[in-house]
Amino acid sequence: MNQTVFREFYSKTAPALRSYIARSCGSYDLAEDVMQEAFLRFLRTAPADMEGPAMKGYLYRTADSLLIDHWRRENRSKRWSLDMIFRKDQTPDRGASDDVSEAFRELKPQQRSLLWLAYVEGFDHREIADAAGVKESSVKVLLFRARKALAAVLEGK
Amino acid sequence: MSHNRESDANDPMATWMRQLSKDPAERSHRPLPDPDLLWMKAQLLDRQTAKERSLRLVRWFETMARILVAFAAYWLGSALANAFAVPELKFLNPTLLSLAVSIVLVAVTMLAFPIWSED
Repeated sequence: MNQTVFREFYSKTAPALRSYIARSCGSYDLAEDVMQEAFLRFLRTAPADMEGPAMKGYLYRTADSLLIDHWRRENRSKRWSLDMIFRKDQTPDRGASDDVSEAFRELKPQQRSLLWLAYVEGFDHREIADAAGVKESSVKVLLFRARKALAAVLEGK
Repeated sequence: MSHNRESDANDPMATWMRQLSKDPAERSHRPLPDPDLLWMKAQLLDRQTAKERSLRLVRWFETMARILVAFAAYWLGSALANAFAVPELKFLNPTLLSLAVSIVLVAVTMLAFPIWSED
């Protein structure tokens, strides 16, 4: 991939990816950091023969694992921080938070990414399976469950 | 491969997800980071990794060379101590003398070839 191709790919992919991360974590700043790191990893480690949906899938998968790493680190540092011992309230950056985001955040990470890839990116089941690392035959069931979970969350709101 | 797609215009889920996909950061007028900067950063990181990889073998050889120099210095120190084992210098312990020579030689080589430096 050369710089021009990357620029084009970035302009097509970055807004939706940033939106997905911001909706998942509820923070603009974190979304921006994770998005940049995901693109960096993509540039440095993605196989050269990747194309279209596979490239997007790789990015989303990377962003998901970066977010999970971030939450794990955050939990670990919270557990050992003096703030937790003294029960000091922490006010996280919730700039990107609203009712829609909160409903989305209540889903499991895999459900979030499946719904996003299916409805926002318009991936078909095979592409979703490749991107999410699941079997193509189970995508339909997983999507059904994700829809059901989201409907349940929205009904509860 | 459109037969396995979920995005149906009349599906309320699709509508909801489309609403969700509107970038919340865009609404707050946050520009996207510059792709050229990301590209350059990736190139720099790649170069740094390649450099570190190529230096790994050199550093291993350097460490081995240090160990050999240390042994050689100890041997040289012992030989010197034995050679100058004159009665007037009895107070000089041969082991301590050889250790002192070793330390001086190792220090000189470390100053000459600093393996822990960044370059």
